[in-house]
Amino acid sequence: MEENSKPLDVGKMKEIIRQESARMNLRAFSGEGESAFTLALALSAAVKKIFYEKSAMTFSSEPVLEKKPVTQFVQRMRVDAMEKFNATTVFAVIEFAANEESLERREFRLTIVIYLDKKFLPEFLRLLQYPYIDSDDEPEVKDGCGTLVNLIAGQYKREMAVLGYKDLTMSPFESFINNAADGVGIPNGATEKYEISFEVEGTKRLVVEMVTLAMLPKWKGQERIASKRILVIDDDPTFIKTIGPFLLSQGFEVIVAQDGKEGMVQLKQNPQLIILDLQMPNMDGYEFILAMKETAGIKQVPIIILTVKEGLSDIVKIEGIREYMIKPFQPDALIKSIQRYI
Amino acid sequence: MKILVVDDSLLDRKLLIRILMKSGISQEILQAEDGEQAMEMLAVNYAEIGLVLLDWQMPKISGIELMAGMVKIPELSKIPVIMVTASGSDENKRAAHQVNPQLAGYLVKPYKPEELLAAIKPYLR
Repeated sequence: MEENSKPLDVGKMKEIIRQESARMNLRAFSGEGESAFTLALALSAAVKKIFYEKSAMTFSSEPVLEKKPVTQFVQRMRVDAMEKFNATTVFAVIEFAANEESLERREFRLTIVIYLDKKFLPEFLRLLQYPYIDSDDEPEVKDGCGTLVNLIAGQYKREMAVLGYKDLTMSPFESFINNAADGVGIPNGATEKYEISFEVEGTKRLVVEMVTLAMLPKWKGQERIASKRILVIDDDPTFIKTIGPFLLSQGFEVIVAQDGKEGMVQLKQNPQLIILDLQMPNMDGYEFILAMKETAGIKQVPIIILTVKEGLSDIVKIEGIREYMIKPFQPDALIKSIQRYI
Repeated sequence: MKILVVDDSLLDRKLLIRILMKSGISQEILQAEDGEQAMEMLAVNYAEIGLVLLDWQMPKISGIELMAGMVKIPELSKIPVIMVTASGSDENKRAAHQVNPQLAGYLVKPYKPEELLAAIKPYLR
């Protein structure tokens, strides 16, 4: 045993580890040997950081290797047993793809998919905007840096620099994530796909494809339900913004009304189902049901009550009301209910 | 000599340490719950640590990343490392050997106590 062993420089060690893991990623990346093994990439590390450090959640990383013809690997991360987010609601898929040709052209594709239930969207966006201090002993916050959003972009930039992409312009990427975090251009609960190209030294190109803030992974074997029209009557614009794109994404046509009165007008469009709130100005849900029943010549449409009010399970005894659900809605449960009547 | 056990699962650490204790080993056991903590312990105790039992999947710095770094740090490159991980695919095993050609062992969870003891025995001092 050496008696006079001096402690090693932790900062230097960290740097070596960072470089080595970047190199490992490159090896996996370029398919050297047979080692397309799964490793956390810069971005997945950043996403991990979000989950680990900012939200007191436990996390289990479950890498899945999907070896495509040349080099492609997928890192799936699932967040389990979380405090704020219930299990299986948030997970991220990070996928790097390249093939021999594109490697030659130094062209890669990066796809990040973050799936989360819409009701956690505000929380998630807040997490993205949390101030982040990169180093423990150096709490410096540079211009435009200091949020997790920028951490993701910055860490990716550094990682790419290790791989030889020194002058990668990340501004489109940064502004994209910033927009995402501001909620700009992201239809709440809908799947959005972005493709950003980076021109690097003329010939090098990196395409970042982001599918973000998707509500849920697509239902398997989901079929478009042709011209199935649903009338949503609700005075909450946020709810309309949420449920509208969601129902559209599931293949339904959506008609919207802000209160019972408008709902009565929209009935002319022959919806096959009504999703109805109870508390609304002008004409509330109860009045609407009554009006629909009493107006001659109107076809009676099945109604699903979707409200924040709890403890009204007896409401289904009212004629016309088929189901009673409480906000925030569970996408898959709602779809199941809708399919019962359409 | 000290043995460093690195695993983010408290249960796994406890289990492993219980097996070591029961077998009557006299070496001091250090614990870290992720690669970063392990790195900090290695930075201070590297001269005494004679064996690292390392999980693969961990927060902050993963086992494979830590090992890749250790290989490049002269003071740490000689410390034997045994991977103790739930990922037992051939691909991962190859990857671990590629990162560290001197890899002292690769144990797949769940392991039998005698497998663990047999793996560490050659490295006890």
